[in-house]
Amino acid sequence: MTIAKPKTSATKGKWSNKALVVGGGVAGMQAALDIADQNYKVYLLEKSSSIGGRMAMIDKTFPTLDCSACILTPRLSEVQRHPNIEMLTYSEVEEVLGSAGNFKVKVKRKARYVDEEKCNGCGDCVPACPIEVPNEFDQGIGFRKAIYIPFPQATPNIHTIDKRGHAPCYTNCPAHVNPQGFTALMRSGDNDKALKLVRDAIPFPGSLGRVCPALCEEKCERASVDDPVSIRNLHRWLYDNEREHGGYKGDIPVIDKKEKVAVIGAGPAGIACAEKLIRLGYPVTVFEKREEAGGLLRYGIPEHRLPRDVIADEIKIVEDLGVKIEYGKEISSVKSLLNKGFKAVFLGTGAPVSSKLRIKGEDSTGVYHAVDFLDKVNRGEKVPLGYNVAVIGGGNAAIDAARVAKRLGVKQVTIIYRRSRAEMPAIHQEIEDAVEEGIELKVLTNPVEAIESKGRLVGITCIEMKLGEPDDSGRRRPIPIPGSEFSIPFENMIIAIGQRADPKGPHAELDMTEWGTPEVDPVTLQTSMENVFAGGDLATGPGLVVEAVGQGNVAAESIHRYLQGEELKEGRPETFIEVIPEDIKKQRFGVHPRASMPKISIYNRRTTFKEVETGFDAETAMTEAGRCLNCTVCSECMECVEACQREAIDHNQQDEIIELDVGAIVMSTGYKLFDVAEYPRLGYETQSNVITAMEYERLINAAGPTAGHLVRLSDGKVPKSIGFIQCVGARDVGKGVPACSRVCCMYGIKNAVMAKEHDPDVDVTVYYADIRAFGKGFEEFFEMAKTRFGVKFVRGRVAEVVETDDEKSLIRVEDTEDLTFMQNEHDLVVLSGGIQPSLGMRILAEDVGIELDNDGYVKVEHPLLYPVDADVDGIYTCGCSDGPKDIPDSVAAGSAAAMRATIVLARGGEVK
Amino acid sequence: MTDYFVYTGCTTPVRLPAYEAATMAVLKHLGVNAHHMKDVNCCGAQYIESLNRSAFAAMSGRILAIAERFGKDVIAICGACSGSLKHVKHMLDTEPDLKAEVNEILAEEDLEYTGKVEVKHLLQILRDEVGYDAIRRAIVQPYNGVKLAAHYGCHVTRPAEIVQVDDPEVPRSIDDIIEACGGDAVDYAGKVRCCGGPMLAMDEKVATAIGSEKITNVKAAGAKGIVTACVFCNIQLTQVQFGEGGEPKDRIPVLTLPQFMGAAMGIDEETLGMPLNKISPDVLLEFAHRIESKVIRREQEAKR
Amino acid sequence: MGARTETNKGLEIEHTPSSNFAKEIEAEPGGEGISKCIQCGICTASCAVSSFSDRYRPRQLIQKIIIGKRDEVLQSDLPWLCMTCRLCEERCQEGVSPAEIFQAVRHIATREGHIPEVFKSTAEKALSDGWLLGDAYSDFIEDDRDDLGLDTDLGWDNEFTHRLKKKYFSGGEGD
Repeated sequence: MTIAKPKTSATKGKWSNKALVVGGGVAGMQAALDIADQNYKVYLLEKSSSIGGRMAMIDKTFPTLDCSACILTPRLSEVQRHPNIEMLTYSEVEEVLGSAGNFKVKVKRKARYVDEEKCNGCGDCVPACPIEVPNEFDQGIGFRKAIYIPFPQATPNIHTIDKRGHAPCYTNCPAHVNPQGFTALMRSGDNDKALKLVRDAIPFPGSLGRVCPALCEEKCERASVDDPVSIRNLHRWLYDNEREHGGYKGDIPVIDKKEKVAVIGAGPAGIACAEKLIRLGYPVTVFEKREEAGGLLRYGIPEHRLPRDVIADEIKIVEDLGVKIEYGKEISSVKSLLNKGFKAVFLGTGAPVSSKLRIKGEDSTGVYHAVDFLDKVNRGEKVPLGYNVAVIGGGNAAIDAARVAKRLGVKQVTIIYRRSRAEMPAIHQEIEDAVEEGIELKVLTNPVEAIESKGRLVGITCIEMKLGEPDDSGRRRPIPIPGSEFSIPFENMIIAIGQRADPKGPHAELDMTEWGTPEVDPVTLQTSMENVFAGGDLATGPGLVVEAVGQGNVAAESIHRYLQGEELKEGRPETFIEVIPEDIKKQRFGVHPRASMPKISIYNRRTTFKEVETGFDAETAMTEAGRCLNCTVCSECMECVEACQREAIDHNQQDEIIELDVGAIVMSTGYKLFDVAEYPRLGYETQSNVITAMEYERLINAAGPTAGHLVRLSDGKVPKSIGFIQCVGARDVGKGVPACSRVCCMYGIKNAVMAKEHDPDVDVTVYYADIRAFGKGFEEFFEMAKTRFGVKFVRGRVAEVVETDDEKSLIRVEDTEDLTFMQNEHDLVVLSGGIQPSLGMRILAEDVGIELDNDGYVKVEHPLLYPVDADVDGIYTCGCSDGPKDIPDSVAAGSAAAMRATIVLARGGEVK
Repeated sequence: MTDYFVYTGCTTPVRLPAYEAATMAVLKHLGVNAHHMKDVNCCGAQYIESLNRSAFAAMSGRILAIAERFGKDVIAICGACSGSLKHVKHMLDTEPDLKAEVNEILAEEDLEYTGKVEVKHLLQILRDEVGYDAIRRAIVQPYNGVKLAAHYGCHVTRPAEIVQVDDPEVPRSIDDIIEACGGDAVDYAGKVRCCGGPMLAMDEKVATAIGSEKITNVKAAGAKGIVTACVFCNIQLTQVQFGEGGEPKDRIPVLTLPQFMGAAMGIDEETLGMPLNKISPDVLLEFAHRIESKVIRREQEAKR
Repeated sequence: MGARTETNKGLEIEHTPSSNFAKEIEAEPGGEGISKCIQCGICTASCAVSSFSDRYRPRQLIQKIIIGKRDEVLQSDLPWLCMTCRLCEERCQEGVSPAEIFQAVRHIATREGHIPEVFKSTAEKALSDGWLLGDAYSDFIEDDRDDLGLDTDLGWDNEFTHRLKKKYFSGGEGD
């Protein structure tokens, strides 16, 4: 007796005779071929970058011991060649609407960043890519590049770039240096390319490599494993290394444009802008009113942090590129430059005016401002200092002034800061270094009066502070404690509480803000005059060197667009896609602390201006570069673009949504493997010689990471004794997987037999509760395993795998047939994991509109009568979508589902 | 924080009074109000438990009812007591007939078990009530990285769904406290296996073999001492080291958790009852008190 | 029906397999899961006692219950060798707790008068004194407690346990 199926409600005339197969494993491929052979068009959708599914990963199949790839790959070709099959790989179903005969399917085609029409799979890009990450196809044992194909016979044979967003180090750097990219290039052995990549963002890898507070490191994901990567010190090393070995090796740009650009101020902002413009081919002249270039890098930051010759050398490199710097030339009017024929001007004159404390006695002799003090010292002028010097402030200028004072011979240097040490804005390493050098920190203290005698400073009256509620900046407001005043004798006071722009200067011709800075557009840095741009401390108020450089870059881009008549604001500011922390592969990273920077002795630090941090050596630098997690995998270093001769790579590709009209859908989504790490007692995560069955398949596969040599992962030795543990992650009510996975007994026996095929002398034992050898040829295969191959079978579920002192694995099990409590040692233990519904099935089922059963598999209409129908008309299921199956059953179901689907396609949606 | 009763069980007051003293001292130091319970009885673990289920429920049930009467939750410091009290609470909360039966007997003393009393093991109080941050702040003499092995005890962590103290296969709380106190917690084979204590009644040889294997595994992992959270385990792991063939110099100290913590918190050794420990913990305390001690130097010599 | 032999106690033991005992265990609190056992042996493999004993195999003991060896099991000391460490319960993939099942066996065994001597005597101590170590509380230990600042009067109540003894253990039978 049959049960009549309800008719579908497809509108006649609107019916589609195309089919969609979701999942490109062997079952899906079978379904696609069978439908296509009947002259219907089929879309074969696959979420990974190639069809083939699990069969492409395994070595041999049971019970025939056929080579899996050998029987699969002809199918892959057939699918690819078939005129009626269109493959949509690297794609996912977003939504299905409609009903049988008339489904509207929204599909998301994920961006591969490779043009499918142009790529021919030649693979030139692969050796060029410096990023190596664990290879999912090899179960994390082998490595692949960020641009890759998963296996040699991948179909379609098109490369894909695994790019997960923008790395936080890159997005957080105000100049957008690409740390992930340059460390990867260092690791792949190309320091020149690495340095070039750094110079794409900043012209001062050596100087910034010494003074930058490293905002990149604040966001480095490596910190979640141990410490951030020492990014700043690495690009410092790249520069130092180049300098040691003959100097600048990059290209010299060709000046091919006519429009002259003027830059006022040869500080970080101005030089960065000039360097970018010269690389774009513009003739640039920089006007610097002082005798040397560098701005605060030259005149503000002390020599013990940034040696004079380093900044001078980096400036010279910029000059060698073709930038003209005119020294001692003060410009008072922007308009005068424009009249002289410059087509655009960038103002980077800085914020050199020191803020006043506004206390009584501030103007006495012996009181200096840090900016002037450091400037004088850096010019080589003598500054008279007494025995006892106070530095007021908590930023880098204060620390610099204090450490310089110490080196000039001051016996007692005290930093006075009104908040607590944790809130000091200076780089914390600098504060530590200052304290190490003997500088005293008086925190939660504020000066109220400078005590003078005959016009000279003799002391400071201070008041104690406590922290109150946070103010607008988010920092806790310091509140004076009444009645807590006290006085300390000081002969000098150096004020370092902040800086401002000079209200006088060439920018006075422009519209100004209330703070005396020129008004600029925040995105383009354009001022009130359309061909005049401003950036750095001048525009923003005192900031970091790297921020000034970043603004120089932005201004250069703006000037370039202006001069070319392009839209200034289009596509700016650049949107960044932050990588999701969950996407970062963190397993298998051991703890390896950050390299420490060697320093010169405290004695030398107190008495000389020698550079305190002496830099990494090559080995330390390489090891440190190796600590990068490759958060986003592809780092956009663009090496692949250079290597691809067909120009097939497009890093700006976006995900695409397309719509398909289909009459029937076949679900063939396969399975995912149970995560055996859920059994800590079996030692998977703690012992490297306990592996999963799929890892084993890759090890014995000739196309795998060890070229088919079965070796232990801990020492590469060939195992002499192997144990296979069954029922891991299946038939376990405690782990929520009570069902039997159907295939593990057989694949476990197959794997055991393969071990014997690789090495007849190896001792192989399978530990089981039952052997389910139910299919055709299965029982014979089991017998053959025992008799012909000598595989041992122990009936007993394994309780624990314990690691022994000599890196072997001890299995504790009861042989239930002779009541022995066994403790068997093996060189290698393989866990036969159960199978589970594919990852994301719950969401996919919702999107498609079908129901899942209690185990999370596709629910079939009726297990006996309609075993390949889902619970919705027009949607069918095959392979492991609806439950565990081996390959023959999956293929049979594929053909069955194809047949059911074509009934719909052929009859316009009416199903009898 | 609420007020708590500390239920010592039969064994601690007599066989390991130092554990009792150290517990009270450390809880006080960390700001937990803990009081002794009077006029209570044995929890019924193992012996009454095996003979009659209702009697067992009544034995533990009475302790819970007394705590309820005084409005305090119970902290158990013996693993067996913790297991019994929590298990009986679960039984009474889910079996109305049994609860009625027990309350009938308790009514004779005007006691009643309603279910509002909570039972915690000492580990839960330290981890959840006090918190690791507060423990870290209380440390004045950290252990400077000495390797230690945590032994949880079966009844402390299992059955996991009922006792809910820690993960039954990969427990972390004692290890975390060891690290908070500056020690280096090491893993070892058979970490969640029984100490063998319950077997002493029926077969002392097997009990000793089980306990000795644990000592062997702990030593193989390089640990210099064991930290326990159950009086029974502590006594057993100490005792098995006094068996035949055991040299005094090979014995490693077995400290109860509050003794271990208390030493790092600066509580004096007398208050913690250290002199009463059968295996002297001096080698561990040296790590605490002196950074460069003779012990460490000796080890470094041996490595060269 | 079926083969019968006589034990040294004069009891007749039936060898024909029967599910009656398993059903009896199932009905006893704690024994409910016994029918789920598939005899895989993971309990024995997890058992610390089994690793050092030649005769204690929890899986086998359950097997004996399943096939109906009631008298053998109830009269044996094997169910009393379980330490209730519950590692078997934690690891059993079918949701069986041998520890709980053996407790159920012990309860039935108690009702029928098969109690190992050490359990009997210790339980009796607990019931008469209210706690287990009355005999061990020596003067030396009292002094130690005093030195530690602990109360030397341990204050155990035994009236309640006397009532329990009367209700549950008089005549040696349970409720």
